[in-house]
Amino acid sequence: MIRKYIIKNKKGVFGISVLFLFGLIAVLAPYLATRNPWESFKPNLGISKEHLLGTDLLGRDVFSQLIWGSRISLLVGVGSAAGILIFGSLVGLASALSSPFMDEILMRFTDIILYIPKLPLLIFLAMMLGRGFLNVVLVMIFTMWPQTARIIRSEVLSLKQRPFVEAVKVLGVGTFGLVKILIPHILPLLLASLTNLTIWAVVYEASLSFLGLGDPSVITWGTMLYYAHVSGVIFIGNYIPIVAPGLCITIFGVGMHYLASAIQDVYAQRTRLWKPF
Amino acid sequence: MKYFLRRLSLVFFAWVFALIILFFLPRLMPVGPEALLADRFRLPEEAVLLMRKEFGLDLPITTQLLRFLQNVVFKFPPDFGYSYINYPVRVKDIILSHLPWTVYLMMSSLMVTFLLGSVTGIIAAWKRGTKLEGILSLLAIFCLSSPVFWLSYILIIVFAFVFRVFPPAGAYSVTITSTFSLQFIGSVLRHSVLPMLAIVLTQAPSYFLLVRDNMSLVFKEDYVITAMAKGVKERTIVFKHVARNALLPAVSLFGTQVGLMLGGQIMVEAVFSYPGVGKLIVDAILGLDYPVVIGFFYIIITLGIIMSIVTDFVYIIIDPRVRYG
Repeated sequence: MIRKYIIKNKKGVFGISVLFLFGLIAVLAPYLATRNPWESFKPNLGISKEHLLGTDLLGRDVFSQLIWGSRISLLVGVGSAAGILIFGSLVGLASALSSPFMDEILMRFTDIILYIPKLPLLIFLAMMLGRGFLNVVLVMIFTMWPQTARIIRSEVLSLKQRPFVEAVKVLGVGTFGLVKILIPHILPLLLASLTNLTIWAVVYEASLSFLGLGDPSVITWGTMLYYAHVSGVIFIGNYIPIVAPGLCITIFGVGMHYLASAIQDVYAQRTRLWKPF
Repeated sequence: MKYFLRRLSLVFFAWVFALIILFFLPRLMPVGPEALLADRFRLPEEAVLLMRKEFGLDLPITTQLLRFLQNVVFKFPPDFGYSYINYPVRVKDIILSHLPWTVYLMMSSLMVTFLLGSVTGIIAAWKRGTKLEGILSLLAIFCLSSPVFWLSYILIIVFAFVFRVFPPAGAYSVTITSTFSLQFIGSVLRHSVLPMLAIVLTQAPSYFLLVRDNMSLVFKEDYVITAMAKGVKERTIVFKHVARNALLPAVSLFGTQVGLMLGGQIMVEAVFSYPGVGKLIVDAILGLDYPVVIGFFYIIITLGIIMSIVTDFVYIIIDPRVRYG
């Protein structure tokens, strides 16, 4: 389905290539990085053959850090997004398919978490759990599931009005069977949510790391920005350690945005085809 | 009316529950804040005991909760007690001294965001398919995807270092002593341009995309075609007929956006060392100053809830269909 619809879509092609490119960089990091990212050379070197993007204030090679950093940044981004999606859709499905009373309770709880602003809550929880990128993932899952739960719930509720669900129920299929039948219908929505969540997760990971709540023992785009921020590297006129990691995050985000909007376009086309009028 | 009472009571319960969750969060930690602070500042045993007594942390959890409900939830204005870090100072005073900066920055950027997002959205929908629309859309997606603190740095590099137009940090220049002079106001305005720009650039794209897509939908409505057939001027159709209807959902975004905006504000204040609440809260969280943290969340959650109710009302006023629906 993805191949058939998205390749035709220019935005989709762009999004998929960005995703593929960054994925390839992350996987091939040991071969692409020209230097050991932890090794200290002379600080604040400019762009040269030895150091493709120069070095930062601690003398570490920016290009190699960028390559290695993509690993954890993307892993945390995609991992948290998947976690949020799974947890959020489980709550959404449970809410839509259970009794009205359960639905009310689950949705009120979702509302409560929604009322607490995300970033302060993220910072708060990250501080409590301590540094470490697994904690960052956990914290993000805890703070960001409600939106997904809401989206999935309303989608399933509208699907429940369709005649085929009625038919399935008449055939005597249980709740799990129903979920199995519903999943292909909400799959495009799940995929679009996943790409959107990945953008947010990457940005929030960078934000947490930037504030000094990330894992200082691993290199991510966020910790690179953190070190550049703390060392005040731009005050001596070396802009690359700040510009490069942020640009990577942004390009990745733009790609994911286009991918999400391509998926939504395809989804809208398909739903239009389904409707008889 | 009945709908509103139901909604108000639900919102009230959500508000109380959110505050209770905030009460429990720091207390779920294996080690209390006083022990961590003692560890950090190498305090003697007696000091820890004294702190426990002073902040009421030695009481059973139920008593603490009752006190919290009494002092914070069911009391107006709420009493958050003293700050752990700056001990004799009240939380209220700390927050109030930082609040004006944030309110100023937030309100001004909210206004600019709404205006800029709407106007560019209207133009993009009007000129759909042209180069202008393409550039605007790409710019919007770019700003939407970039972390706000990074964009702040880019603005600093461009406008403070390369072209020395605006100052890179702070809220006013420290050399000015008198607070009520024209010079001071000018300095405040100059210092707020870059932080405001950073917030606007990351928030406006959501409005832009929403307005643009809504405009395109409204353009297909029958009454627009009627207006065209009548020979109404294109400009009038775009602004009077289409934009008025397409801006409605943007108003509801206004309410939900506040929380997100605040997140951006925290990062922006961290980059620009702007003395607002955002910087205060980061310092308070990193410093384990829980009373300040709770005070901050109280304000934000309350503000968010008020905003969502106000948005509902505004929506009813500007969209007659909701009233009868």
